[in-house]
Amino acid sequence: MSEKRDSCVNMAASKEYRELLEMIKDLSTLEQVVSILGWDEQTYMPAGGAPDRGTQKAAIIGIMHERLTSKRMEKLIRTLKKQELSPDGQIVLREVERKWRRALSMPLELVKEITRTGTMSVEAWARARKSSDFRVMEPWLNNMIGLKMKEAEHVGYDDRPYDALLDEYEPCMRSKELDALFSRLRYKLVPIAEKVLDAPEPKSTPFTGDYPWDMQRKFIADLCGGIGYDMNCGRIDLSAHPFTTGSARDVRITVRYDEKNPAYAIFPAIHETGHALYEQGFREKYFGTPLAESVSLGIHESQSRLWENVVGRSMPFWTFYYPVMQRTFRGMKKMSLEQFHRRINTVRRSYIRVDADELTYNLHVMLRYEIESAIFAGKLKTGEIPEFWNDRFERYLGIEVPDDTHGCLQDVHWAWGSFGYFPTYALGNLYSAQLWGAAKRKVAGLEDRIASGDTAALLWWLRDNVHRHGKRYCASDLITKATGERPSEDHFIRYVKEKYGNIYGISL
Amino acid sequence: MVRELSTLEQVAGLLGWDQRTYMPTGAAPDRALQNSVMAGIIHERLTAPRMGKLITILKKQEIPQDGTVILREIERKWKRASNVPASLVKEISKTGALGMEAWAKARKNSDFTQLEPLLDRMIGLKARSAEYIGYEDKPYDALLDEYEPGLKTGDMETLFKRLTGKLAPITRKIFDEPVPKSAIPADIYLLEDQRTFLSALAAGMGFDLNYGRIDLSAHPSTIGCCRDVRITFRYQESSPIFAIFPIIHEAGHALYEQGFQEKHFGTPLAEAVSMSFHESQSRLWENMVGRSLPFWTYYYPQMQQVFPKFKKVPLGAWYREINRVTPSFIRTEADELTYNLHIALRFEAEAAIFSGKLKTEEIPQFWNERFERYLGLEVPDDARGCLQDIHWSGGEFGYFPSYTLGNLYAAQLWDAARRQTPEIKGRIAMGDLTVLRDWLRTNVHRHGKRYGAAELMKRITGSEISEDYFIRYIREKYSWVYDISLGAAPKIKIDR
Repeated sequence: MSEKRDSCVNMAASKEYRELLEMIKDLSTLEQVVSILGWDEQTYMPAGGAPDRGTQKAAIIGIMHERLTSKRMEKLIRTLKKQELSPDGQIVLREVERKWRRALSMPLELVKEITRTGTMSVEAWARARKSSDFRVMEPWLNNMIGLKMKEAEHVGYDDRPYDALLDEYEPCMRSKELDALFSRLRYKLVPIAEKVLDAPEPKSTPFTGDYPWDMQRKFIADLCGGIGYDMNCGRIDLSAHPFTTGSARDVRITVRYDEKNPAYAIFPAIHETGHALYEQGFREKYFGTPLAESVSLGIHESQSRLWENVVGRSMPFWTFYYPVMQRTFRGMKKMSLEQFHRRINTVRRSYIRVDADELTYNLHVMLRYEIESAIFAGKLKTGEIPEFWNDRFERYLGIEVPDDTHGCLQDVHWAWGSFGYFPTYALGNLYSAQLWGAAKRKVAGLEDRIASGDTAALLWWLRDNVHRHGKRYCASDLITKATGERPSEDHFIRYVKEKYGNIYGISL
Repeated sequence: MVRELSTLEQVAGLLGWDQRTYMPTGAAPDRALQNSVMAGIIHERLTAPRMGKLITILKKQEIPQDGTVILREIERKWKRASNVPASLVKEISKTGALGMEAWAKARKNSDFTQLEPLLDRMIGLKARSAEYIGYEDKPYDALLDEYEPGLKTGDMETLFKRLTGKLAPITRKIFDEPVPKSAIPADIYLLEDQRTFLSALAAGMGFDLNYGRIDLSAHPSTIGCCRDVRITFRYQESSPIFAIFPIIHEAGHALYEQGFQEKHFGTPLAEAVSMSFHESQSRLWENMVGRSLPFWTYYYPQMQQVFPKFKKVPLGAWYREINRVTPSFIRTEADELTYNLHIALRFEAEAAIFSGKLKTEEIPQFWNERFERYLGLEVPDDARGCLQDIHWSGGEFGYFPSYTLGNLYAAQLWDAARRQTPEIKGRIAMGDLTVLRDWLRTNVHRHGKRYGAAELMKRITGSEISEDYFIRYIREKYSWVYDISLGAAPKIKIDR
């Protein structure tokens, strides 16, 4: 009986399909190798190893590109498109074809040119930022924009060139849709932010005393482990910028720390754990295929933001964890839970995106999105970026940008050529609030369970509704399936109104 | 193409390092896959038709001297790789992975029969691959050649016979002496303190931490090359000795890797001559220098600062402690004198296996008999006998002899270094290790694979490779340590 079923499965999976699977699993394995190289580069690599590391990464990426665009791959894709595939097989083929088309559409020379210019332009960016002078990086950025424009033309688009860039990070999303979504969000968010920013800040006490890294490390490991991060298939290290890397059975996160301020490490740690939980939540039988890959950066970010902000900055979460934290750090004995909660939820006008609170964060992102889409619609010249930035910034956040370092030079993304990346941060925030709303509706007593230290119920809901699907659905379909509604800004607005109305004691 | 291969090998090396140091345990299956994909790519690139074509064309061209070396070495590698069918390579690597797993279990249960079927399969596969690789005299030559190019079974047999013949009376005499009492003060030697001292040692030898790192792992190792060379160590809190000598050993390897000329990075001119030459570097530092009185004349006071309990132990007692000779079951714990007997036994087993004189199932018995003959101890179980090393289960036949060759080369190099730079011992006693390091840089490291082992040794020392330097070194040292007469040092003719 079982033999018969097996042979059915084998018959269903054609020889070509099995070969395709083998090829993409190898590609995914090489991707893991690149991850390890990148992880090591940011954590333990001796400084002198830098030039070789660049060559090593380029060699592996080159081999991946070679294999993805090989004749054999093309033949397999063409053959399989004529075959009847299982539902899983269809997804795998769809995603491989998508990747293959993108890779094939780009002339190798252009890919190399972008990589080269990226390296130079990041270096120019670092110098420009140091001297707070946009003009230092302007020529490089201008080159990069020209190259990315070419890329967009090669990749192709229906409506706007920017869509071709956006598609790399947020497949299926179009800038027309984003325009509408973001303008609604801005319209609703700006008055709320203004009200909160103008309200008197609730009293909270600053952190005092020392928080030795060894103790922070232990606390963070307990915290991340507590919310479900499997350390048997992962680890936590230090790096200059926190990140998550890897997939399948090896997903690693990094944090940074400040011995005077434990929050400096805790929230990035929870954020990265959110990413890691997604990567660890795919189904083992799909490892190495698109069915064990994230839908998009927006969805990935929804997982990190949900854990970091919606859960990690909530009262229920700290009701359980704050006493643990107080036992770990004596300096916190004098700070009450309420004070701590206010402290980690202070809303302030700030120049720097990565330091921004969850309320004003989206305004920082929208500003960047507007610049990107204006650039690629030909409406904004590279030289005009600083002025545009400063104008909008003041309009949205009500403060004047003092210099380019605190303005349009703060992020590395553009120097790398990562246009289309920023909007995924805001999408992540919106998705996270919407997912949280649905989880609360579906899981009885969710907040009480979190308050008693049980975050597993939420994790399982996310596993069932988000993680286990891999790339089966595109972002908006996944959100619709999980929450019963199309993606919308309303859930986020409701969430911030309720939260900050409470904390600030005002009506929003 | 050659540089790309070297880059890919660096990547594979880093994966290995990560596996030993920081990789989460659960990631083992993924890492196995990564290793095999990388090995596949390297094999594919090495055996690509383009590579064969280039080699054929270049062999007809007149190329500069550096180019001839590169061509010679890449051709050697290419031949080895293309002679063995990919299916056999895969089969060996799969059997090796299973074999190592079975070995771990068999060793735990001290039961050779649990490894036997896989080991038997592996021996069959390696014998087949020897046929593909080709050899003039004995199949085992083809396996030896991977670790020590050009080495023949017959030469090795003669060498081991002479070596064991000369070592036997020396060891017997020393075994008859009373074993010195342990001089290690009972204490907890904290990892952090040990790390401080070990880093100072490695840095003192010249290990460049801007291009390297030191981490912990279950088995000490050196991984990487050129601008990124990493060493690992293990430790025990009961005694710093468990970490000190492995660190000196690995730093010796690392100095070799850091000693190539930058312009040759990525080519055979920035690669070690052979496994044995690599081992000569680690052994020279670990034993000839690291277990010598001059070395500790400088470093012992420093060690006493880090571990104050040692202030009560005089330098002489410490020196005798680190040069204690006792017969023991485990190779990796053996002293420098008996170590070679452990290797001789393994070599004899390997040579017998591949000449068809020893069946897989007879290995334990063969092992135990020879062991008792050489070391005078009865092997109590397989875990402390033929199951102690991982090498065979992974298919690494031909590797063991390079350990002993490393010892012999080390003694011969050490002899030459002392003759050519008479001030060396005095400088070492003052904590200045640069004279020796620079001598090794100039004479060994910077040449990469330019010369074969025998030729390089002849160029440096003026004589053929011989076991006599080692014997003389042993006699001198241990007659002093044990205060006994170990016979006259053999006369060595220098024909330069």
